[in-house]
Amino acid sequence: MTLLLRIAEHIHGHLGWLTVAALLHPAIVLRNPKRRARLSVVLAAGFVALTWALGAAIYPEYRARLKQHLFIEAPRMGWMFERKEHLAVGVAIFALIGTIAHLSAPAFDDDGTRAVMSRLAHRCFVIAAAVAILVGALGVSVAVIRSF
Amino acid sequence: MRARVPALTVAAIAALLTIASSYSLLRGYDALFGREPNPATVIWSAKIAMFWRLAIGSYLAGMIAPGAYFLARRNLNFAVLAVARAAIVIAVGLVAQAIALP
Repeated sequence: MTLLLRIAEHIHGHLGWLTVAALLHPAIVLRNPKRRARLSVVLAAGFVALTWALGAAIYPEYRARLKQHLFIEAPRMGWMFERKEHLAVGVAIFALIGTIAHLSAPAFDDDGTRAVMSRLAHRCFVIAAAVAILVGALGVSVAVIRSF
Repeated sequence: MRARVPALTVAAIAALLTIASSYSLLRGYDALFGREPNPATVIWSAKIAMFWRLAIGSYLAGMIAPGAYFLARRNLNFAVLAVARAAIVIAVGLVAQAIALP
């Protein structure tokens, strides 16, 4: 069981950094509001969903096996992990909003409204990418201190 | 169906923003006013607070989404601008809460 958790944790960590890379792509290419990048957006959202699902799957075991030890041995790192959780929620939600906004923008008939949706998609991916970098950095710094 | 896509989009975005804002508000309230035990003293608890907050946020989102849908059907430009501005405010709030009130 511990070996499986360790493997899942490592996959989660590597997927997390791949997610950062995947989120940076739409954050860069969507600067142009007329640019369509459906594949990039869908892949970024897919990476976020996969990483989030794996993190959520091992989270109960983190609480049962590691959380208390982490707070006893390195309370600052314990609170860093708490920050990572909250920020990861933000990454998932803003990546999803960016995806919805980008994919649905062509359905808006009014040019002004379509431009607002395109800008919203770009901003959401910029937010998601920036926060994902923080999440990745916090995750690595905690994993160095304590792991399954 | 295609005519409804913009309003459905606004409703979905409003629902997601509701989850994000309620998550950070609930955690902020817990951190400021909640009497939670020191995590170093808790061996195990059945309640996973993060999932609980997301569940409450999803419930609230289910209540907000129909309102956002009908608002978007009445005045799409206003609704789109509202969710676009709210997204930035909520993102800043969530990051501030995560950093200051973990």
